[in-house]
Amino acid sequence: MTSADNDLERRAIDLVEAALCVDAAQRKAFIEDAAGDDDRLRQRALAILRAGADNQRSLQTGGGLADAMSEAMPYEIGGFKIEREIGRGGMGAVYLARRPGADFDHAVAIKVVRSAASVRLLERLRFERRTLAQLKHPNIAQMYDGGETPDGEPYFVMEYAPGAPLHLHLKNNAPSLMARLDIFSNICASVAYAHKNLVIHRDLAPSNILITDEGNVKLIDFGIAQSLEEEDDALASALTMTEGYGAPERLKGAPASTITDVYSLGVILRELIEGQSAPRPADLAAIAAKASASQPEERYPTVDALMADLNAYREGRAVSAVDKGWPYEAVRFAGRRKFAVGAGVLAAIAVIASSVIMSVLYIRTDAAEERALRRFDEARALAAFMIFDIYDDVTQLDGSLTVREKIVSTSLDYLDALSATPESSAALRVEIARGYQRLAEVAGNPGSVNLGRRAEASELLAKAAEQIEFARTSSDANAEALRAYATINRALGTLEWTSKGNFDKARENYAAAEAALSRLLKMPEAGIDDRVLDGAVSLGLSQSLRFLGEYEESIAQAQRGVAKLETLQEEHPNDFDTLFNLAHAYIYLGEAHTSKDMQADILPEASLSHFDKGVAMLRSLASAENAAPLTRAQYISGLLKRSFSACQIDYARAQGVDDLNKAEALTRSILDIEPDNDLFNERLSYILYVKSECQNKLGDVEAAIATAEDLLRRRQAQVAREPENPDYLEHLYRTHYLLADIAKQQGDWPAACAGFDHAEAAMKRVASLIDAPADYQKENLRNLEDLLHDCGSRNL
Amino acid sequence: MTVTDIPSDIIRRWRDGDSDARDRLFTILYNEFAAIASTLLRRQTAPVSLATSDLVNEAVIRIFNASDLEIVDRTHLLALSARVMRQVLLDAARRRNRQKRRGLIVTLSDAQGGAASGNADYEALERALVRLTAIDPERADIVEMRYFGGLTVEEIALIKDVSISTIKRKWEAARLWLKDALEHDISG
Repeated sequence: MTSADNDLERRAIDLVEAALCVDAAQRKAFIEDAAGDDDRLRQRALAILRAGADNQRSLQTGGGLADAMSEAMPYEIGGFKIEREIGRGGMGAVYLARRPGADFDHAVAIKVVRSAASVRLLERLRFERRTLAQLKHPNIAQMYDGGETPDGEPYFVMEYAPGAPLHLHLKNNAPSLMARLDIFSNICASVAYAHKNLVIHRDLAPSNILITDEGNVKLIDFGIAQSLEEEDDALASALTMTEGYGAPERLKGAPASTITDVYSLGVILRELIEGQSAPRPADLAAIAAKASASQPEERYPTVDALMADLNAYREGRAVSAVDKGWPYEAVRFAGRRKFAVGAGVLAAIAVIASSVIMSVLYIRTDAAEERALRRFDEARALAAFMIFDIYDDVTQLDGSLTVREKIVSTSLDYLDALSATPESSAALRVEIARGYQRLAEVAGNPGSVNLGRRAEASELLAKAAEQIEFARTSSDANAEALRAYATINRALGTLEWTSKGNFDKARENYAAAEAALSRLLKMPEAGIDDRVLDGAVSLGLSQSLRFLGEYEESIAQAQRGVAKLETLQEEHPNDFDTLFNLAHAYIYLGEAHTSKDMQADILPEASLSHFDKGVAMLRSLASAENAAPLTRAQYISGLLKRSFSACQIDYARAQGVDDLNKAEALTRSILDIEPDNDLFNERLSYILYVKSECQNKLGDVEAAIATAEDLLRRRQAQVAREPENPDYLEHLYRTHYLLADIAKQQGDWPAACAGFDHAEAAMKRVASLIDAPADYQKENLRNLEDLLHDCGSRNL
Repeated sequence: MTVTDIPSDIIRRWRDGDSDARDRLFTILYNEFAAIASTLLRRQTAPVSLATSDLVNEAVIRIFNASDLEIVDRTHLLALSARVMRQVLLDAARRRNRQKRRGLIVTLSDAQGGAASGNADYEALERALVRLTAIDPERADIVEMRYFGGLTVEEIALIKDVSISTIKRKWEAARLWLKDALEHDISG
């Protein structure tokens, strides 16, 4: 660029600037006149003036940032050519797009979610798109397709419905009250339809409700918020809920549910009736107030109930919102009352459950009718929603035990009814099996936060296994069946191992799970969860082998688990489940080394480095602000396991006691909140056992006895509750033995012999309850016989 | 360095021509804006109400409160903020374009893509602005303050010590020149 060029440009701009002072119509002539015979100046000035002729809004004042944000507008997504941006919301941008070369003009709306998406989120969104694609309703913008852009951003291809969002429609057209109620009825009908298909909207607001140019209602953005919330807790309330329309309990972390959608509908109804000139009918205000009550249990339990009341009003009948004397004016937005965890969910469950069970009973009596079949499908969908979606949401809240219990009992009724139906397709069997398995998990598999009823859990898992058994032998079992089979067998293995002490059976279950997984992992449908499960199954095998005394093989399996999970960690360094299981792999490897060395009478020093790795990982996972209760439990468990080894070693014993004190304090603080949680109660008992031993080794006999007596009371209470649980009885045996052994070391033979007597009684009971006592159990009994023989010879 | 670390006399030193003080202010503002801009650009979640000028003014107010500042300094600080914002957005665009090239992503690469569709191609805009600075630094300054900093014509008039109507005319003409330059940008 020469200075002569620059000079020309400068003169051209000056000329244009002068031309801007005259009327737009005369600017061209002004320039031509002023430029005289300077052709280059004239051409440049006119070119610059023309640049503004298209009236394009560009280079707006302060537009730098906004333009930068829209710069990333893509050219093409999923075979659709992007035409322009038509909206921008909390989670990303929406574009108008067309299929190039299509025979007919097919415009779609494509929503691109700006998110640093994890593999897990993408998998979840894929699943969700399939669910949403099945929603076919005239008032719901149809979901066609979706995927991920090459940048990894998830997108949804949806029906394009030109029109105005509800609030603008109301402002521009001022529709009559009757027209407003028609709109609201259509909104309700589509939301009710979605609820029956397992989909919660989660962000119902006027901006998500379109009135098309033809005057039809179209709801957009159904359910899309869900996966994003799960992905990013920080985003949950702030970005996926439109302010003023989200239920108040959601701000406090409660999950979205059908009842939170009811709340949003209530607010929308209120705005519909307040925003028009006709007098506000009191009945309508009452309906709106009841729907948007700040207490979830005071709202309509379902959208259908809300619609029923609305129809009653329209037909001139009495509405329930007024009948029951709802203090609607006072209730509305009354505000900051304490939210009862899960109350709204409970209300929804009760209604859903009864309709589900009714439907199932109905189909059993009248199976041939098409209508019955359709209701059957709806019922299945609803039950799955209850068992999987709601329960998952609820477990994230501390102190939600009662709600969980309610979910279990209603779901179980449903599954039993479903099992007895004549239909026997593989897909249905998989679904029933998964349902039972989930309930078992809930009821008392010690591997998850649960209600602590192992006998019930065992029964449920047996039912699940029965339904899914076909997957083992069927060569055409699909990915879903294999996944269910592996999951259920792993759960069975864990139950056999931890609750029944049947390690051989546990090993068989784990091996069966592993075989199914090796088939599944070769399929394209295999995802990260399946690989994590595969690692976890190796760990289960390692644990059962350890209890069977096959230490070398136990170490080898733990190392396989470590290797699988470390590979996965390299690919997904931030995936929680991978890290969580890898931490366990290190811990289990440490335990396998400990067992091996202890058996060979060697100090378990080799285990310490593995424990250190595992405990460090668990500590960082558990210290995350939003750490789940289970993660905290497992951190405690890691501390405990390391301390067990450390207490064997003179130089590490101080560290061991330190770990134990940390673990005990953490456990007690959690039990303060949820005193009946079996998982944490179990941990506390185990901590007390190890602590007593460690204290004894340190020479603090008095403290050791006090700790052991505390433990004995806990173990006795457990056995009183489930007298035939061999696991609990074996714990009781160990505690008696612990106390007796301390006494024996002190030369207090009368106390020792009384203790050994109790221990023997407990162990004999264990032996009578299990099919075949393991070698170590027989050894324990022989040992006790010898000790009691000594006592006999002392006349005690 | 954050706003709270600002020495109270930094604005005075900057106004007195202390280039070290200017660089420190630049760094502080850069960090402030870059953090906000990267969040917004990544998530594309800017609330509609959050305009560039709010962002810039917010930062200036924070610096203002943290330092011993006269009212007249505020406008100079706003001008500096505009320059910082330009740099932040340019860096972000370069980063994004590098990533796209690496991933072989085709987005808006056709010649008319940039200004014609209402989107700014920042690297092209930067080239045009650099050229405008060579042609007429005063107009380039005005564009920077107005487009990147969201300054009002009154504020710019105060800084440039000319009439408001002059600023308005210069801004309009400079905009037209830039649009023309962006439409004929061939080095992209």
